[in-house]
Amino acid sequence: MFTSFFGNYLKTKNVITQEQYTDVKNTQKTARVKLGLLAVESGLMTEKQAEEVNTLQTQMDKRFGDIAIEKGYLTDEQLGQMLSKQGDAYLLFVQTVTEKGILTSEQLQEQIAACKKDLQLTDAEFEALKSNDIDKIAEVVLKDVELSKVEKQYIELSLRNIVRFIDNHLRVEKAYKTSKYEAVAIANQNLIGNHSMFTAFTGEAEGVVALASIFGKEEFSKVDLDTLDSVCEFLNCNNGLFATKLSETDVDIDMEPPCMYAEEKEIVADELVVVPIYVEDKKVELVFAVDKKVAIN
Amino acid sequence: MAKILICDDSRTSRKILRGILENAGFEVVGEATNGEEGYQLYKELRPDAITLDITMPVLDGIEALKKIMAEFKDAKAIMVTAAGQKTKMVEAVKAGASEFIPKPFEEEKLIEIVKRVVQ
Ligand SMILES: [Mg+2]
Repeated sequence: MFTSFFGNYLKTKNVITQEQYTDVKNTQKTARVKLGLLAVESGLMTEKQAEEVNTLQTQMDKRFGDIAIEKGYLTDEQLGQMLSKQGDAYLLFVQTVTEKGILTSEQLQEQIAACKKDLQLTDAEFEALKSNDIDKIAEVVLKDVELSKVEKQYIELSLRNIVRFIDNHLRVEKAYKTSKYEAVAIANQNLIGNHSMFTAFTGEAEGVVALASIFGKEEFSKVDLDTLDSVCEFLNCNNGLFATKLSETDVDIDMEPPCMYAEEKEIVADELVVVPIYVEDKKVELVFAVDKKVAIN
Repeated sequence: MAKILICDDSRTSRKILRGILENAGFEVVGEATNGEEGYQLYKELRPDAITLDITMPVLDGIEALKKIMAEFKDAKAIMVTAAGQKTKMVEAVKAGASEFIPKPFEEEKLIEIVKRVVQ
């Protein structure tokens, strides 16, 4: 998730090219963070010590961790903690970008500072984005929009489900409210009960196709009723899990059969919540309303 | 080879379900896209078991189950449920449902359940 977010920022700023972005993403899939980088980043070893261990490693058949322990730079416990962090998304990004010579670590730090400023992110918020924790990321993208408890719960749960069933590298942009949404196509399901809810996935055609293909385990190529059917089934599962969540607090909602619109439509309501989500870097939008009258024209 | 009838309004789900069942050696004898069609096809095909999605237009899975059970006391119906349909599940048990399979489908679990039902 960090790569999707920050890599995309660098791409829009023309700091890296689309090819470099794709390359970094692909490399990361199999890479592990090197222990030297981890030790330095977590302040357990100095850069000089890490270099020393690296040099020693070229002269003897021992692992980085073993040498660092022998030298007294790390304890067993610290090594254990570091090993568990080798999949860290942020550090993997740093490692890949610097090793490929795309940016130096100084340039990277400058870009991080610029990104925080451009997107008005506090240090804590940027840390959240580094964490790869979808709940923390949700907090950041939802901070500027006023939402009811149910609305907030629905977004958080939907994001978790997209991570779980669709794409664990998704990117989310700031949620916003609107009274009119122009859709290229709509996969919709209404919920009834203690709350009446309009829920839908729409967005750019490519994004809708990507979501449908992943969930339906089938290569869709354009937005038609079959593609939307797959999206609706995902929405149905998502809404089912939401109903379960609400039932814990004695709120009952029930799902109606889904509706599909394979042509351009306008969604109109007093208030719609829109969450832009990028699945495989393609845009889908979660559009929903809680206890509001919604019309599709 | 046990004969299974699939009843689900979603083409995607029917396709995935058919794939899993056929892979496991079951014979899918038909596909219905709503509860009414499911009932009609059940009468016509008399499969060893029917999978019934719950959320469907025209006639939902529970109503279809009731209709089938009223006429065929030994019918074996496997309800397909998304999470969050607990009340509906209770209703289905009362109406005579044999088993439940959750969506999204987990292949191994699903096969195990269907095998148990048709045994
Ligand atoms: Mg259904």
